[in-house]
Amino acid sequence: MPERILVVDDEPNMLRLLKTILMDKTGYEVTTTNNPLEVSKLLQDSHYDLVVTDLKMPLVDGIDLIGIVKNIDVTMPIIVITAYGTIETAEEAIQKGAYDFITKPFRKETILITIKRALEWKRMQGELAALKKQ
Amino acid sequence: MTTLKRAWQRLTKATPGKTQAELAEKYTHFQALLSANNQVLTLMADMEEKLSGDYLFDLQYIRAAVSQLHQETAKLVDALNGLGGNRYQGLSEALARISREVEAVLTHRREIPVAPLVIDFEAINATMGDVVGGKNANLGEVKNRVGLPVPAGFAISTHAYKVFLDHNHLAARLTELLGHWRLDDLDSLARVSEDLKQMILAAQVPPELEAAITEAYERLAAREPRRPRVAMRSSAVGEDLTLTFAGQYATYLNVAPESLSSRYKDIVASLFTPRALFYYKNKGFKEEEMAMGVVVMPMIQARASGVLFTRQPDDAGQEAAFINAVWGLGRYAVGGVINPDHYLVAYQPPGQVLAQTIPPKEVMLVCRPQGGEAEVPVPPELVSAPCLDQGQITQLVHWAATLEAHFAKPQDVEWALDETGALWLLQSRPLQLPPPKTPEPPARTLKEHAVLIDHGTVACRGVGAGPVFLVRRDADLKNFPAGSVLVARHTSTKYVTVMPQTAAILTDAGSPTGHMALLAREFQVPTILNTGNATQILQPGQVVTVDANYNNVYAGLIPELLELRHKKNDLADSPVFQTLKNVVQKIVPLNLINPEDDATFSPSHCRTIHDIVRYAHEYSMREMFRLAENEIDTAGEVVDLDSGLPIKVRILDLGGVLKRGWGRKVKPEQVDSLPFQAFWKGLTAMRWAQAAPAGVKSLSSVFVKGEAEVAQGADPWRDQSYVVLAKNYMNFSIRLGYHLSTVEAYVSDQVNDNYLTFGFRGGGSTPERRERRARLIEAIIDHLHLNHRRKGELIEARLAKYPAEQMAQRLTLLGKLTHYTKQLDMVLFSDSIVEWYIKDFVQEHVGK
Repeated sequence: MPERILVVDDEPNMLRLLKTILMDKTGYEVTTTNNPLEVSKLLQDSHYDLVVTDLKMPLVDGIDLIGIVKNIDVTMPIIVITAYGTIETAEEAIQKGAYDFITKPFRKETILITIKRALEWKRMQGELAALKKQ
Repeated sequence: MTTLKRAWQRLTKATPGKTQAELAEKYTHFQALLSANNQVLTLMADMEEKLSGDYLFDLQYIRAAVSQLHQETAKLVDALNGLGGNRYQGLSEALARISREVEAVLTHRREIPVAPLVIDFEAINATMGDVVGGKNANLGEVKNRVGLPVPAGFAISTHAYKVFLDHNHLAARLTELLGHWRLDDLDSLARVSEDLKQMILAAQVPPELEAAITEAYERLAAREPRRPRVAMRSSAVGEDLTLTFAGQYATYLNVAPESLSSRYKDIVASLFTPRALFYYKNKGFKEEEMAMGVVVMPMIQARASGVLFTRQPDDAGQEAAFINAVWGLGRYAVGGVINPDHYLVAYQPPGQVLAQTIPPKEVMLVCRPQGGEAEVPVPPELVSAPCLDQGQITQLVHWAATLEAHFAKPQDVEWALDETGALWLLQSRPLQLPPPKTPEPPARTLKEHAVLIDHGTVACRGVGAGPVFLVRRDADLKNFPAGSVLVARHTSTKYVTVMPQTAAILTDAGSPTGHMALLAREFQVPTILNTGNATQILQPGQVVTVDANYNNVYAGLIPELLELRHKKNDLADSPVFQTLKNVVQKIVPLNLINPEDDATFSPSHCRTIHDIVRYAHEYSMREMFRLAENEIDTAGEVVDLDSGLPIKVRILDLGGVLKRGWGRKVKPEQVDSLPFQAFWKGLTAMRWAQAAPAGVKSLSSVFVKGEAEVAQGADPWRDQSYVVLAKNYMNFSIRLGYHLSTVEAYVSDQVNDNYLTFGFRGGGSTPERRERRARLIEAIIDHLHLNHRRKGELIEARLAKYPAEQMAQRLTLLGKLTHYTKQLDMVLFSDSIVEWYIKDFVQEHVGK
């Protein structure tokens, strides 16, 4: 089953580009929204393996969004996209439970590798939890 | 300066180290310049790299890069002025001018053009996006230039929007309110958005605008069988064109003529939703660039409506269009309320339905008599019936083919079928498609092909192929055959003249942040630098394929690699990409190509930051070269080199070079200067006659015939060499016998900074012998692969951007050459002997 990724960014162009890049040659299924308020409903309505979100958005910012996502699924890896020079916020995001952050501008390959690692991490977490249960 | 005066100075130390301090200061400027030069080149390379299509970046990146670039270039120009006694004010002015131009690109403002308040569709086309907004512009294009049935209608222009703001004195308030929120305060955003909305709704549509709208409506009504209600849609600047405003603005259907003005205000107010505001601010647009046009067209009493994609989004490669359809008005075709009909229709044969689903459609939207829309049940006989018949399907697929042919891009079309069975096009915009799946990239090295070179530094990625053309000197460029692979020892900005016809570039040396590398990226010429030996491995005329993605050069043409040449850049359409592209256009292209041409190589000819940098770098080297000529004679603090050889050398230390006590003499091994050590090694590699080989007096008595020649080199006091030294720098003015030459070099770990200059200035001898000597030196210099030119007996040579060890190697050879030719002064009695000595030196010292 292909892995499903939810991408949240208020900027439609960025969203379009991210979707293009994440789907090109990967086999991921990508859903995008430019409305962070919609995220919790999207996550509740269907299954996702990973969330990629911009840090700076109107109405709900990326840091708040981490809390919202973690409330719905604590194991969901979240990758945060930050602007150049906002390293403190990026660190805050990690403390709030983001899996990793990636700073604009970035190479297409970089985000693909980060996503791959995050998905592997999630699989391992799942296997670990299953082992503990036995 | 007389001996006496010097001695006096030494004794009294009347000007202790003053000149030395000045020189040291100049050297500090020079180092600052080199450092800034590297920063600027690196920044430019970085910006170009972002245009490769491999990166995601935002406007903030462009701002930061431009600001850094400006700072470093200013440092560079200041340093040159420091070095040249403020002689380069013209360059400061050029920088100020170019910076303003870059800033103008960055803060590019869309002016709202002055235009009529309303414009009929008949007078609109795709170039009028700024005048009528994106949606109107597309509709006008389809109606007038594509010739598909678009209802008669009119646009309310963006100028009308400006008139509306001005009439109510809203522009200033708008700016003020927009100033009330910051990106990091989102509550204030919601407040400001609400305030703006209220402000617009409370405003009055100016009487002249109201009159113009009414008049346009009456013109429209006169063409219809009855007074129509209208659809009013937002048509913001940029909407449906390059910017994507994912349905952020308002649309009103079934509007009564008396409501036109109030609906107009509603649509204008939708320009200020929180999302739109954030988008604008975040993207660095100015509020005066926000402008709203409005589409007004008669309401089609739709029997059915839907969407036509000229490509199926899941499989854009398939030669088929995709249609969905609902009964009644079109909003339910995309809204997800009901399941629409789906038709997948072939282009060939046109209209052949490849697949269709006709689900039951229980409800539909219709126009309410009092205005607006209402949901009503679908008549039972239509619930499970298809909305379109074969003729209509065929007609729509014809539209699709026509639109794709016209726009050269897949389109997303809204259509309606009226009560008479006629189809109408209501909107057309580019269809966003996921990119087609590309095949896996081939392995890094194709084992089945002969790899000729597998190392180097990639300066511009890509693949190119063609016959090898060796460029040994600039003159070779005149004969460069189009489509060839340019192979050269070092990089040169002069290659730019052939770059548009160049399949690929390979060089032995060079840096990916150097001037030429920037140009190669600008022209998208696949380029590998620093291969070390491309000029030796590749034969002229040999056909090769250069894979500058993986640093390989293959023998012959390799079609599977060449197929990868045209990679798609899915970022190229985005506004931020366009902005960077426009900014880079003001920064990277190089216009100052030929430093020998004073008419064009000047500050007033600088058009880009790259020109400034090129100019400053060139002139900094000239300033440094002149250091010794102009200043050394008056230097106060010099020490003598105690070499044990019959050569008198005075050293001026720019700082930290001499490891010595208080003595007035230093031994060569006490000199901590990289270029000096390399040069000295060469100078002393060959056996020196221990006695002064030919006393100045005795030699001059052989050759010097008159006063003029005495002045040229026979003054015994002038037979003194000077060297200005720093750890990475040497400027050596050598006077040996009848040789006057200058060897200047900067050698460090920064490949970009490294250069050496050799200037041979001749010296007393007979004309024939001077000619032979110059020819000998020129020939040997050519074997050392230095760029050189000769005017009479003056020879100038230069080499730049080689790694430190290679620079040192060349300096050692120049040291040997200096000594070698000096010893030959006595024996250059015939032309044939010159050839012999050239061969002798090359075989002995250069190799090959």
